[in-house]
Amino acid sequence: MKSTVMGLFLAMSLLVTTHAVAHSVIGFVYAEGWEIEGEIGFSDGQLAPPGTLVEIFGPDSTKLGETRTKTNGAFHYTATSAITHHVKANLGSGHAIELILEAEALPNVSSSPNGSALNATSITSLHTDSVGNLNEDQLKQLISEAVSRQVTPLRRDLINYQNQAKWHDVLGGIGYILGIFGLAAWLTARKQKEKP
Amino acid sequence: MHIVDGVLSNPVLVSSAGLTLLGVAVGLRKIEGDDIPKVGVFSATFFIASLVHIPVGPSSVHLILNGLIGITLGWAAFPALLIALLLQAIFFGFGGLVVLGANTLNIALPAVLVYYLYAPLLRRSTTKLAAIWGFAAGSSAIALTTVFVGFSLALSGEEFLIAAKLAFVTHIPVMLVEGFFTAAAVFLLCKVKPEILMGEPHLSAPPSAPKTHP
Repeated sequence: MKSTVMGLFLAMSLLVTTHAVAHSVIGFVYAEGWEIEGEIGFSDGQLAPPGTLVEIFGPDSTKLGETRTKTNGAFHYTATSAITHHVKANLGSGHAIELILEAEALPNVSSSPNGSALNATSITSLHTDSVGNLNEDQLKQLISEAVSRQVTPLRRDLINYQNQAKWHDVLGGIGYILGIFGLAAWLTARKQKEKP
Repeated sequence: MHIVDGVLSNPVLVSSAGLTLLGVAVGLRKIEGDDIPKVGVFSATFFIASLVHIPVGPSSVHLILNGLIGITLGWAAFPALLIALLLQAIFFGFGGLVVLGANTLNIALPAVLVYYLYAPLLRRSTTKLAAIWGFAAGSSAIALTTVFVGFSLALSGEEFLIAAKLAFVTHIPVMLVEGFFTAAAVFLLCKVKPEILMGEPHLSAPPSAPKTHP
């Protein structure tokens, strides 16, 4: 009979799709120049309802400002200083998320003075002929927009991938549970054996 | 159903962790040696139930099964759910380690309440009637959990009625699904292994009065 129960339980475990996760909140945040952009939603594909309050905090948890999500779960905030931004949103019913945008993602950080600026200038010099009437700032803007358009879906995929429940996690968890209770059963059985 | 870290206030976290510890202590005292495998199997069932998504309309719901766990385990639901929730937090990031106490309380206490409400009824029911009680147990456990989640959020500053109503309304499909699932599970258990539902008179008790389920 025990095998029936175990069989039932294993059959149920087959229903588990590797793609499924409980409704946890996921999201991502990135910077485009001084503009902080991000998206918040649930792991099952639902997006945060429009008008969800998104609060922005500094590294010392002082509140920098707040914004609200638009229709597609996206939000937008203009940074004023190149510090680490903590983005928090509470979607109600115990669903909340905190996203962190590192200071390095914002322009003109003293810790990374030459990174993006250097790349941008070298590209400018290469393409001056074809886009001669654009100044350096406009070109930087164009490039960062184009790159973020390409990278955003990848970010989303990566986060979805990271949030997927993996088969080895599921099996590992079941293994732990059986192990813990097996240990408990063994200990009690040993205690009972010693008693008489 | 899994509240995440950083939503509840500290007093709520501490007091629910304390109550959970109490519940786990009671649960551990109630588990007899022969019941350990049963508790383990139901703990594992809860662990994976959250991964079983059932499409409802545009969204999907996942099983919680605290009703089924309540009527089968009674107070042992506390240790069973604590372990399963701990592993869910570690492996899948559901809920979190800080709110583990609150989540366990919100899911296990309804299980225990449902046990006291329905287990006596189940024990003297026919198979079909037992399935109906199973439905009631499954759905009311979810309803109670939504109320408890609402309470936890309300005590942490969210407005109770709004929080509870939202949790309750969004979980109506879950209540139905859980009801049907629990009814089916109870029906099956009555057929193949009625001892599981008989609770207190332990498995080790001599099978002097075998229950007949027509």
